[in-house]
Amino acid sequence: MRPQGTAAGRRALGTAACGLALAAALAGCGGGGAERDDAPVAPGGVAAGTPAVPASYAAPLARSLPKTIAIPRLGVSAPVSQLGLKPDGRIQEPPLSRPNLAGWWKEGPTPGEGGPSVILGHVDANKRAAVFYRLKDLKPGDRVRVGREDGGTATFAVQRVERVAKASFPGEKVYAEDLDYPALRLVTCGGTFNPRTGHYVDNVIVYTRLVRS
Amino acid sequence: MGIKRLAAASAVSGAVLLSLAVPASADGPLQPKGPSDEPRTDARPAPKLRVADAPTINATPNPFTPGQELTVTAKGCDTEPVLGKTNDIFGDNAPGTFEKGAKPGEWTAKALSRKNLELGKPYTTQFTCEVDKVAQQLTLTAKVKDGTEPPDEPEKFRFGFDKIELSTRTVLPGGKFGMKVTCPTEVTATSASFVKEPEFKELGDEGTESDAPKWGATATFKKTLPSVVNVRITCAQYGSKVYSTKPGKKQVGNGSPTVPKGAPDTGDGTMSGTGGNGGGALYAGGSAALVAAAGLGGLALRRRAARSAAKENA
Repeated sequence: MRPQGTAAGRRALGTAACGLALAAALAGCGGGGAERDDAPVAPGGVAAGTPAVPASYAAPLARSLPKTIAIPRLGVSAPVSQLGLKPDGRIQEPPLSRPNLAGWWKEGPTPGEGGPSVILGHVDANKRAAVFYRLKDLKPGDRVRVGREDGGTATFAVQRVERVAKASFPGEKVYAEDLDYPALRLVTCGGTFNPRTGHYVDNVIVYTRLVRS
Repeated sequence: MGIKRLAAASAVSGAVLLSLAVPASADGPLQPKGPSDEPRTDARPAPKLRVADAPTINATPNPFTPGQELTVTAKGCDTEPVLGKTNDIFGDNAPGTFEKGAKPGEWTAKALSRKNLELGKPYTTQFTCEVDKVAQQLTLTAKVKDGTEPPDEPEKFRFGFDKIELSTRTVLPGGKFGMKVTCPTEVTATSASFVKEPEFKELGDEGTESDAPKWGATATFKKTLPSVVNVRITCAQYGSKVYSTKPGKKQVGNGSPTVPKGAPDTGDGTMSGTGGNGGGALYAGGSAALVAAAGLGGLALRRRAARSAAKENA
């Protein structure tokens, strides 16, 4: 595994801080909640925007397990593990001890196959920015590249970014939407952190679709 | 069998009250006597009759709906019960014949009740049969529903996989997928893998176990199929059932693909104040930005003041 986590985290922090400072400056330092940078993506809402590069959708690929994920815009490059179900029926998560490890839901399609494949990643872990720390910053058209065991790469274009309350997480849609095209959903935590429960209150979901690289 | 030779009897809800027929004096139907009637004081001693030998008759359902078919059961009769003079419950000459029941002395018959009966009123029909070669009168009393009882509910239709027949469980690119569905309303089938939504038509010539009609349609799969194929068959107002394949498999099974419970917990909150996806971090991050901006602004002012002072000094 590439020791990417710390460096990526530092870059992420730096970029985020710059973005925040700029946002605060543009807002005249009003300090109002409207300038919180999670505000534009309302729960269940859509982060609107025009893809930077018009997507040309690609045909489905054969089944092949994912090995790596790269998101150039966020400086993410990480290995991908496999995730199953826990005894209570919830999905496993990558271990907090490996903040830069993403995990693919192995009961679903592989990235590039027809249907919705799902990759999870932590937003933070052990006082470090984790692999999907800046997932919410993705914009329509941004690329996500998944390296596969067959040696190929499945390239996806971001279609939209949503933040949803965990209480209304759209599991059927994320994991089992009836699609006839290849899609990839990236999921991490978002919103405020509830120290009482030990969890964030929201999830950030990025919907992408396979495109020609 | 002559109804003039009847023993006096009366009944409430099919209970038969016995008295003995006296052939010599039975020129006409005897008046029924209630349970509290005094013992008869005929000159001739009445034959001994054990209470256990008394025949009984009842009907189900009771109460009933006018026009509804009733099942009449007589017990304790050596001979087939026959209709007496009074028949207010059933139509003419009904019930015609009784059939021997499973137990000795048991007889059953089915007949439609009259349609013009008044709600809430009791009606009677008389029968006779022989016990120990002595004619006995049986009076069947049954009550018409008064409208307050819940109506007889037909068995509720439940839509399940047992109401669906598939022509095949194998999903192939470009393949056919036949569906026969029992449903009282209308049927639709949807799948992102179908070329187009199939149109269901009622199959008139195929009987079903229930009253619900059967519908049939055949769908065609696309030539390129996703990893997981879902087919949802819906019986309007009664729900839907989903068939799906496992990733990379060609056989559809009952049920949707596996969906984990709840929402993923992907973070421990240790960076929640630093500007990641977390909203809580944003206030802290924003504050930090404000502090930074203020600091930068102050620095700029100091530099501008220094430059001005230098110019003035020059």
